[in-house]
Amino acid sequence: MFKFGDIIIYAVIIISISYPLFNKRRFSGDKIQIIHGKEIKILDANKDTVFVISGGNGLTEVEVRNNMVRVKKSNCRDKYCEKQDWLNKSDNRSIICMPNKVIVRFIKENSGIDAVTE
Amino acid sequence: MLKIEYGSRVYIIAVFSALASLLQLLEIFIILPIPFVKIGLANAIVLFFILKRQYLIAFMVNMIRVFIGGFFSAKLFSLPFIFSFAGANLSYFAMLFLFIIIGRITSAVAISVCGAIIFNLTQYCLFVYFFNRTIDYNVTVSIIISLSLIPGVLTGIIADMLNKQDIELIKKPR
Repeated sequence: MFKFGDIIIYAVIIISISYPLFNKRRFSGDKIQIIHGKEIKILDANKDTVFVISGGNGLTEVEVRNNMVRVKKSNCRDKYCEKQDWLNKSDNRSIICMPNKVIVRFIKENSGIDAVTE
Repeated sequence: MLKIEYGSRVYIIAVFSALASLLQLLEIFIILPIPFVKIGLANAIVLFFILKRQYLIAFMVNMIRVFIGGFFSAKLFSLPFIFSFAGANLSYFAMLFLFIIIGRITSAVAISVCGAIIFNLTQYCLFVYFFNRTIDYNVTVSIIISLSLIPGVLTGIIADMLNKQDIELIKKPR
C-alpha cells in the first residue's frame, strides 16, 4: 500500500505545510493607512503622532509611536479596536472598528493606493 | 470477480454519475468533528476510474456530479458552484497527471491526498482572489493543506479497496 513515490509526495506536503511557519521573509509595511468610509489617510510610521477621526459614534484616536500603531481611544460600544493593541510593521493584519467605520493597517510604499486625502 | 459489461460508455457514465451524486448529497448528513472538512466520497469513484485507466469516464463522472450536486444544493452557476467546478476540474487533472507520470511508484492514497489538497487550495485561492485581490502564502494555506489530508486519506483508502475488488469493465463488441 505504501510505495516509494509516496515518500516524495508526503515530503513535498510536509514542506508546503511548514514553509509559512518558518518563512523569514515576512510582511513589512512602511506606511500606515487609515480608511474611514471613503476617505483614505496615509501616515508615516516613523513620525510619532496622534490622529483623530470623527464620525460614526464619535471620535477615534489613532496613535503612532515607535513604528507601531494602535487605536488609543474610541467611542464605540465594545472597544474591540482598543483591545487589539499595537500593530507592528510586520503585522499583516488590520485594526477594524466597525461602528466608526475605521480600518488601520500597515501598507507597503508602492501598494497601488487609489486616492490620498490630507 | 465482478464483471461489468457495457455497450457504450454513456451507460457507465450515467450509472456512476448518479452514484457519485448520491454519495455527494448523502455526505451532507455525515458530520465530522473538524469544521470545513468533507470526506469527498464522490471523489473515490473518480479516482477508481483513473486507477482503472478509464480517464474519459472519470472526467465525465467528475463533471456531472459537480453539476448535479450544485443543482440539488440550489447553488447552480453561483460563486460557490464556480469554485467547486474549478476545484473539481483541477484536482482531476492533478490526479490524472500524477497517475500517468508517477503512478507506478505511488499509492492511490498519495494521489488522492494530492487531489484533495488541490481541490481545497483552488477554492481558497479563488475565494481570496474574488474578495481580497491578493493571494498570500500564509498559515491559512498550511491549515487548508493539513485539513485536506484527512478526507484525502479516507477517499484514497476507499478507492484502493474498490480497485482491489477485481472489478472488470468489459466493453461489449458491437
